[in-house]
Amino acid sequence: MKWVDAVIQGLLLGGLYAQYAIGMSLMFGVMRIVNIAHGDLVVLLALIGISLAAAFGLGPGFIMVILIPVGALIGWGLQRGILNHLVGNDPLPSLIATFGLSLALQNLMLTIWQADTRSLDAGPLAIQSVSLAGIQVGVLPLGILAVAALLTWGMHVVLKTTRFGRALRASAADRDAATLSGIDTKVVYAKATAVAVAILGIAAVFQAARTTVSPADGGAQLIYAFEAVIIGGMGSIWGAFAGGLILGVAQVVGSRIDPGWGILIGHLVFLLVLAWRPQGIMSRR
Amino acid sequence: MSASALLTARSLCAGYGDFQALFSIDFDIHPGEVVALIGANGAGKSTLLKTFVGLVTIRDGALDFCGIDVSKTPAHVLVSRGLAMVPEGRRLFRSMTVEDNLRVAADHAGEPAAGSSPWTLQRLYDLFPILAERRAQAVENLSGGQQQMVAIGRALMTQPKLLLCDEISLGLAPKVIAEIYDMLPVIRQAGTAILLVEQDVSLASRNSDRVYCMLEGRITLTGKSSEVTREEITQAYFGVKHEVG
Amino acid sequence: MTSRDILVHRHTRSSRIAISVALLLVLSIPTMPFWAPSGQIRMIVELSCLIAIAQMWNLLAGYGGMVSVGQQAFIGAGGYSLFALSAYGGMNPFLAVPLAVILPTLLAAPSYLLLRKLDGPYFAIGTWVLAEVFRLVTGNLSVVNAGSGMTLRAMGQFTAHQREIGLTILCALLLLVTVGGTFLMLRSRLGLALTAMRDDPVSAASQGVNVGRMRFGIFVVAAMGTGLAGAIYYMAQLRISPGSGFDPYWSSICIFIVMVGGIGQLEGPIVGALLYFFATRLFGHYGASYMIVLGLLTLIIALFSPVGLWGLFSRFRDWPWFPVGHKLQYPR
Repeated sequence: MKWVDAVIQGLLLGGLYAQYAIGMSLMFGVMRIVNIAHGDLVVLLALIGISLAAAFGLGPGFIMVILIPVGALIGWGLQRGILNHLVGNDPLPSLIATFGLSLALQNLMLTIWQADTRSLDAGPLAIQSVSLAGIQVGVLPLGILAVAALLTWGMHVVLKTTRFGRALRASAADRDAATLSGIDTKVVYAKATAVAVAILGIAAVFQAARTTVSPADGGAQLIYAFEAVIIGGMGSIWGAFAGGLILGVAQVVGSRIDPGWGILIGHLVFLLVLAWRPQGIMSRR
Repeated sequence: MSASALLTARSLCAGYGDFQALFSIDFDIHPGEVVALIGANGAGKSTLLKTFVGLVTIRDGALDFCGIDVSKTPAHVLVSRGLAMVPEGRRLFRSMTVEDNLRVAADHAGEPAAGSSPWTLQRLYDLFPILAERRAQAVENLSGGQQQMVAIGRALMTQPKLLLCDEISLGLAPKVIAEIYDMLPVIRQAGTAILLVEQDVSLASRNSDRVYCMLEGRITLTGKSSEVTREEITQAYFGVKHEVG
Repeated sequence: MTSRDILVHRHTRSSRIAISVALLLVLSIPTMPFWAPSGQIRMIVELSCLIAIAQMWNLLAGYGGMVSVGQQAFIGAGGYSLFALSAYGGMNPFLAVPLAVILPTLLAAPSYLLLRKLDGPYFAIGTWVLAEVFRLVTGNLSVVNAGSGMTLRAMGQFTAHQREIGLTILCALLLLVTVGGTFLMLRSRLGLALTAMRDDPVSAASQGVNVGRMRFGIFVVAAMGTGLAGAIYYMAQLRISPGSGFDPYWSSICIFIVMVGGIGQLEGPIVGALLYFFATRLFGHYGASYMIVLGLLTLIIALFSPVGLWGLFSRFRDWPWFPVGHKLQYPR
C-alpha cells in the first residue's frame, strides 16, 4: 500500500514537472533553443506572485490570473529582445546567452528578495484531501495534475488545428520555407516563448503553493524540466507530460526508499532512459 | 522599363557575406507573362530568385514590385503582396500532412490578383487530383512528382501575382515533368505571371514567352523565346563575352 | 619559382616573444616560495587552476563543439580522489596528484557514451545532471564523510614553505601540461583534424576525420586536465565538500572566462582568466551585484561578440601568442 501511495504522490508531483516540460519542449521543438533560465523564470514568477499576494492580500487564483499575462509578456520580451537574435543552426550562442541570463537573473532575485524561502498560502486547498480507493490524495496535487493534463491536451489541440499551431510547426520544420509561405517567423517565435512562459506562470503558483521557493531554486527546476522532456521523448507534447509523470514517480518512490535519495533516483532513471531508449519512451522512432 | 511591369530590377547587386553573387542585373516581367531564366550551375539563378523574394540582401541597385520599391521589404511581407516562390528542392514541411502544408500558406495569403478568382483548396485539388487522394498523408511519403505538386500548390495558395519556380523539374522523370509543365498554362490563365528557372534549355524555351540567360552572376542574353537562336543561347550559357546592356 | 622556394613559417615574431615570456613566467613559478609573499603564491595557484580549467573547457567547446555546464563533475572527482588517496592510501599528497587524474578519466568515458545521444543544448544540461549525480552520491557516501566533506590532514606533516614549493611546482607542471599540451596538440596533424572539426564537422568527416572518436577523446582529455586542476586547487584549499567540489558555479566561471576571453583560440582563456581573476579581486565583495554583471557580460558577449575579447583583438592585429597555423613566405 505504501508503494501505491508513493506512485500516486509521484504522479501528482509529476504533474508539476509536466507543466515545466511543456514550455521547454515547445521552445526546443520550434526554435531548437533551450533556455537555461527556464527554471529561473518559474522562480521569478513565483516570487512576484508571492510578493503580490503579500502586498495586496490576493488569493492564489487571482495570482495565477495575473501571472499568466505577466509570464506571456516576459516570454515575448525575452524572445524578441534576446533570443530572436540567436535562432540558428549553432546552438552555442543561445546556450551561453541564456546561461549568462540565468546567472544574472538568479542574483537579481537574490538582491531583491534575499535568500529566504517563501511560499504562497493556498488557503484551505493546501490541506484538503480526497479519498480515492482508500488512499488520501491532496486536492492541490490533484489539481496540479489535472491542470497539467489540460494544458498538454490544449497545446496538442492548438498545434494540430489552429492557424498559430500550423505556423509553429511549419517554422519548426523549415524556417525559410515558412517565411516563403508568408509567416513572420520572428513573431511566431515570440508567441511560442510567450506561451511557454505563460504556462510557467501557472506552474509558478502551484510550486509556490506546494512548497517553499527561493532565488537559487532555478537550476533544479530546469533540470527536472529537461529530464522530463528527455524521458518522454523530444518533439512530443504528450511525451513531455509522460516524462514529467515518470520523473515524479521516480523521485517520490526514491525518497520512500531513503529520504536522501529521492532526487538522485530521479537522475538515475533519467540516465537509464538515456542509456536504453535515448529517443524517449513515447517517441515513435 | 515599362511602368506596367510586375517586377523590375535595375543594376541589382547582391551576395552572401563577403561574396558577391549578382552583378548589375537588369530584369523585368509583366503580368500574364511566362519568362524563363536559364544558365549553368552556379550562374546565380537561384540567388537571383532569392534576392527577388527577399531572402538575400541587396547591396546595390533597385528592385520594384507592382511599382513599389521592395529592396528593404521582409520576405514574408512580399509574399502577402503577391510574390511567391516554389523553392529549389521543394522545402516542404516534413511531418505535416499535404493539407496542412497547403493550409499554412492559405493562412497567410494576401489578396488575390485583381480580376482573378482566388486559389482555394478545392481548386488546387481540381488541378492536382492526386493530392486530393493523399491530403491526409505526411508529405515525406509522397513521390517526387507529387511533392513538387504540393510545393507548387503551397505557393499558389498565397494568391500570387508572380510565381517564381526554381528548378521544378529537378529529380523528376520526364513524364512527370511533362505533367507538371502542362499545369503552367492553367496557372497563367488564372492571372499569375511565372518566372521559370531551368537548366534544361529546350524545356524552358518551349514553355516561355521570353528568356534570360545568366553566367557568373550576370545576364548574358535576353530575348523572345521564339526568336533567340541556338547559337546565341550556347554562347550566352557557356560564356563568350556578350553582355546585354 | 618552385614550391621549394616558398618558406613555411610556423612562428611569428609576436609568438616567439610570447612563448619565451610564457615559458619564463611558468618556470619562475616554482621559485616564488623563495622570494614572494604567501598571499601572492596563493593567487598564482588559484590563477593557474583557473587557466587550466578554462583551457580544458575551451578544448571541449571551442574545438570539440561540446558545450558542458558540468565540468565541476571532474573538478570534484579530481579533488576527492586526491583526498581519498591521501587519507586511505597513505600517500604523500604531492605524489598522489598525478594519480588523482585516474578517477576523472574513468568517469569520463561512460559519461560521454551516455550523453552523446543528446543534441547540443541538451548535451550541456546532461553534463550538469551528471555533475549533480556525482555530488549527490558523494554527499551520501560516509566513506568520504558524506556532506561534511574531508580535510587534507596529511599536509600537516609539511611546513608552510614546503607546501608552497610543492604547490608551485605542481602549478607549473599543470600549466605546461594543459596550455602547453594543448598548444602542441593543435600544431600537430591531430590539431588540424580538430580545427577542421571545429569549423565544420560534416566536411571534416568527409575528409576522413573520425568525428565521433575524436569527440570522445577530447571529452576524456578535458576531463583529465580538469581533474588535475581540481586536485591541485583543493590541495591548496586543504578542504573539500560535495557542495564546493561539485559547485555549478565552476561552470559559470568557465563560461565567462572562455566566452569573454575568446573561444576557440588558446590566447582567449588566458586573457579571460586574468580578467576574471582581477575583477573578482576588485569587485567580488559586492556579492550578488558583481554576479549580475558577470552574467550580463556573458549574455552581451554571446549576443554581440561571440568571438570574445581576443577574437576582437585578432581582427585588428594578427599577433598570436600561440600560433597553430602555417604562414607562407614567398621569395622576393
